[in-house]
Amino acid sequence: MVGSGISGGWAAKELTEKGLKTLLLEAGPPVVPERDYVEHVQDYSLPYHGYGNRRKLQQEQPIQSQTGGCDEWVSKWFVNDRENPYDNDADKPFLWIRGRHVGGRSLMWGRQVYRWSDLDFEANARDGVGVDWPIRYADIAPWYSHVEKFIGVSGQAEGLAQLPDGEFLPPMQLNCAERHVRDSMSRRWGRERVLTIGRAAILTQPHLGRAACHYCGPCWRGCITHSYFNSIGSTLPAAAATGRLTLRPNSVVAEVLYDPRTHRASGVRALDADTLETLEFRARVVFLCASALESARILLNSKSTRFPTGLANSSGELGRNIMDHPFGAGAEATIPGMEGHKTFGNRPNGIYVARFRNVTDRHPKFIRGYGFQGGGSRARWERGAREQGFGAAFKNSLLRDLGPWHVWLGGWAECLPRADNYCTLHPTLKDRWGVPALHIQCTFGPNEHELLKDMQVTAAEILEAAGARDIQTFNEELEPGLCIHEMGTARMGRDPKTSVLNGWNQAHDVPNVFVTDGACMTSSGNQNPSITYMALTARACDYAVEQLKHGQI
Amino acid sequence: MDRREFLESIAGLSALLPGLSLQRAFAEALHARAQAATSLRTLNAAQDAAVSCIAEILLPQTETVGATQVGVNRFIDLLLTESILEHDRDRFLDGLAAIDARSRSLCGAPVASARRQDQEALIRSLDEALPARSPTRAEQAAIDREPMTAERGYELLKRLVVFAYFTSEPVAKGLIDAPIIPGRYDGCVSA
Repeated sequence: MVGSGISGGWAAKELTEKGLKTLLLEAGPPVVPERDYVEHVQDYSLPYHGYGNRRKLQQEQPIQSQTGGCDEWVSKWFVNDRENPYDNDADKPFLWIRGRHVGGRSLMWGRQVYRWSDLDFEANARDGVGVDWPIRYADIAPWYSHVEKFIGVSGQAEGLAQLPDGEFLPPMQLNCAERHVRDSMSRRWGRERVLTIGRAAILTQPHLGRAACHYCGPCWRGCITHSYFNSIGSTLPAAAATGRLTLRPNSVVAEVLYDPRTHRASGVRALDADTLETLEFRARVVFLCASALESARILLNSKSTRFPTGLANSSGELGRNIMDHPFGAGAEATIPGMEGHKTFGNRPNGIYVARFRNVTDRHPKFIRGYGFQGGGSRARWERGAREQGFGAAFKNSLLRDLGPWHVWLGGWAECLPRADNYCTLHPTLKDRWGVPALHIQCTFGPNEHELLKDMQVTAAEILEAAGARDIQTFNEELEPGLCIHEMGTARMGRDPKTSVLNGWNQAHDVPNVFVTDGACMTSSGNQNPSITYMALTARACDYAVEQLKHGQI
Repeated sequence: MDRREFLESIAGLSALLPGLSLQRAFAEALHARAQAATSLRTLNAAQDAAVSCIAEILLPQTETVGATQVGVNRFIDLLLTESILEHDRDRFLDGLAAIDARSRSLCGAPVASARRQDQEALIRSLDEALPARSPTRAEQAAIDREPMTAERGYELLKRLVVFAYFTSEPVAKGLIDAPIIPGRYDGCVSA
């Protein structure tokens, strides 16, 4: 197994619990919660109070630091861009945000989990875009439940066909402003536009030995009580408890080895990250869970006479169809009239407005849709940086008054798969360990831009319906990649001529190779994708073990 | 610091320190200011005087600590020296120069040496020019290419002063009511 992030952790758990001796190779170093988690470290305890050392970031992490989570606390969990280069055409910037350590990006993820529905799994077939998914909701639904029961998902059942309910722990509360917006939406749009509390992999009650959330706030800096789900606090300990897991950090996998006599992968070639010693590991089955672009890179770099353009690439689709969710557009406003109320505690979660475009009707300008995330808050002292005022009254106001209620709504939209969004191995550029780097070519197309336009209009409509003031729409025109939902580079499909993986995440060409991270995605949906990766991983593991038992691979 | 400023600054202290010789205290305060200035690594004495003066006008000492008491000027100097990108540091310093130039033009002296009412009039005019909303990325890029103005310099300085003050330990720990581990979440309680 390659990679210990959200997918790799699940593969480790499932394969070991089903009896397989499993070697998990992680490119980066271990993370020790007691030493490395910093969620309770306060601003004033840091040299720059959270402002960060921007010169150092500019030198070492100019790409990583463009995401908000790469802050003074945990920039250590984002890669050094100098050691991990890639390139893109100058006019087609792509931001590749990476974590290379045990646990991967499951440490810093957004923790939002939304099931897909058949609206999503049937979308490509319905619209004639890309290739059809080889599975439907019924194939994955039991695996969503399997995953949700283990990771713990707090959320509110809403009975929406396009956003199926799951195995929910009690929901977190909406705050005053959010309740007001929800009720206003309900009056105006009924069940067409529904606002619900974010469905989050954060515990609202004790769950399988993990403590309930204590509402300190910044989950992305770690959680010493393991109250949000990540590999380190959940799946990897479960895998280790079987006695069948060997976790080897600092192991940079460069290629999957192919045996032409058996037509199977025989293992992987890796490098020790510290010594650069070449290592070879043999295995009966190989799971790639290194992240969509890393898994594609490894396969593209696994060249042989049989697969001169990369392992399992007889279709030519390996590395193609990169998708990432367009976001950063919507509207924000002030909600008057609730200044006498406030929140208590730091809820590490926001609101969600389920997709309402192209659900029952057909929009004339675009296909697919988007969901809104965001929430209500009061700016507290932070508003002082932009608010007019000075002097004693100004200071006292910032110290004592929380400021007006503010609501922010931003859309996360579906991205269509396109063959001209692709990655290839760079002819000369290599990473610190000598592995060829990627050239990435990815842009948003007309459909994505129409979605970004529409989400500004509908967000403003929603706020207007709530009686908001000072409504401002925005479109930050963010580059692809920054949503950190990159996917699609080894898509699933029924036809080996047009897809890399079959309906079990198994390579059409090499049956003992499975890819279960974001690479496998045939379309992108508009929901945050991690739970679909986890469910597909658990499903693929179950299938792989059955196939091994029956001597099929 | 002139004697009038000094007397104003210790007006609240004199009741606490009845035996203090004003002459001696003035000399000590001047010495402390000189020492503080020499310990700064980017701001020169004039720039530090401008930062400290405006910071204290923005967030003065009252019954709670003021900006200079929590070392806002030293923290800004630290950021300018170690963190803020060189281009942004230069624009910040250009902004200070623009504020002082405006002050000389309107008040006949750099802001730190101007009369109190002139200082406040200047700050009020700059404060009223603050933009109503954050610029988009494209707007910000355009702003960064334009020459620095007193208004833009004030905007940058106010942002840093507010950040430095409210993230300082005495304020964040002592004055802001925000438990680190609340233990629960209530979405709507009486303020």
